[in-house]
Amino acid sequence: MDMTVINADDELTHVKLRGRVDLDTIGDLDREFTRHTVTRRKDVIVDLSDVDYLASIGLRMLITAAKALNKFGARMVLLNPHPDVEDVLRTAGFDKVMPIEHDLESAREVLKATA
Amino acid sequence: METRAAGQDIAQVSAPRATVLVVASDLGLKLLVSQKFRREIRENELAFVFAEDGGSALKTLGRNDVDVVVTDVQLPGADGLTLLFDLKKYFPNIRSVIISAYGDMRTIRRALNLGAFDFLTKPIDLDDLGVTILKTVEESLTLKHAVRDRERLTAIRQELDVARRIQLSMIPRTFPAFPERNEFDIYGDIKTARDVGGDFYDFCILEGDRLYFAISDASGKGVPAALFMAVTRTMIKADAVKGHSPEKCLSETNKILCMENEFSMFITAFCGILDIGTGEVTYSNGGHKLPLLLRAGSEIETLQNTDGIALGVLEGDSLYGLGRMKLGHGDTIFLYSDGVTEAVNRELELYTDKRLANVLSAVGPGLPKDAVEAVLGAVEIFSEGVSQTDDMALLAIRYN
Repeated sequence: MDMTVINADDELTHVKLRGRVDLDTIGDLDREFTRHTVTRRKDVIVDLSDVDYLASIGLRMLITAAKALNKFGARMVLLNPHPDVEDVLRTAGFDKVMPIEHDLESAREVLKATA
Repeated sequence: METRAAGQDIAQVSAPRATVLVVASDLGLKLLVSQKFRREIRENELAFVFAEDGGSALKTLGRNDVDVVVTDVQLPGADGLTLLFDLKKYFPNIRSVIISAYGDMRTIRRALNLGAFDFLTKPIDLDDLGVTILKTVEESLTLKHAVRDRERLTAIRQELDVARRIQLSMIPRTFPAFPERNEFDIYGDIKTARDVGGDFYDFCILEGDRLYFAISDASGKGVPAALFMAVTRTMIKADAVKGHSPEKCLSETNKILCMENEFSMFITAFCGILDIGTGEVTYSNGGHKLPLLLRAGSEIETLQNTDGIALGVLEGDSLYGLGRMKLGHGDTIFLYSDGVTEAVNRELELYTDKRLANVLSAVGPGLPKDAVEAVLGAVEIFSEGVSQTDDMALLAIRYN
């Protein structure tokens, strides 16, 4: 499991997660993720296209960050999750807090529309 | 700069890596070790404490966290061998080194038999002293860490055991649950994972001849998840007993779970109420896997979702919707948690919704117990003995 910061400018933080996110792999990711997203207080795009599996510990990491960002008036959008992962997110109703988009342009637009 | 100064203070008062007790009646040995280990003492790698005879040595051991004892054979009063005997008896985890006269093999042999880890001979060679003490310290620390790890592991196991007991005590597990009722059959089972998740199912008969039923899955593991699950299960049930409809049960419980939830725990929950007289079911879903419907003589259906989100995530008034459906005679509603469909095999493949539906189709409309056991059996075969990281909860109700 790892994380890459693709872009971090004045408007946006764009990060990409890779691998399985579960209890065995989460390690320091939780802290790193929060440091790179919430601390900056900017809108966040999380690219999930390379995440094969998202356990509830991973959902919790995302939802905690999204809720913290909302308090600062920023939002989090999830980009391009694997169909199984998207199913997990939608089943839990988490797309109500973190919209799910399938390309970068629409992700940016969702963020602009709610700015 | 201030923080660094404070940090240095802490470093100076913090415990040394290891402590060695030197027992000798003369000052010579004390001077030797202080000289030989000057650097280790300065860097807080080693600390030395001293005693002049066996009695004061034992007192010192009672007060200090000592890892290694170096003792002269010749001591005033009881000798060094007696001290070794006492060490073995009262401080079995401490490693010891005995110092005897050169060539006194008889004493050395007796010391080793009494459990001494190594020996030194007089006159003491400074290099030999250094190597012997350092080697004994390492041996002692290895042992100490092994003991500590074992204790930690025991603590973790005990905690998981507590979690498992909390979880299982909350779940009705006596079947048949209502031997006097023949209008319906109900059967549930739960397999707790190695780390214990927070799954539960629940049911009870409500006033007005109605059956309340629920299934749920808390995020996280161990005691926190088990407690979160216990609180949720009790609140939803209490709302149902009060006469609230399913969406009200979820929304009231959600409000309370959201109030103080700094760790962002969440829990998915599905609850429903069956009118035993008519087969009508009202239900609401808070982000849980949707139950399956096994109708006599037709394909398996998934229940229609309602508005809803996992509990404990969002505050709000109209987050949960109400669903309605009707069970015909012989129909079964099958509830489960994602531990079933996300069970993995050795290749880390998931069990999937599709495999679950296939097993249930093959079983056909029958007793709830048969359906639950068939699924658990199929998952066990699929998972090839891989220990699962998530709980599996299953509950099936057939309307007769």
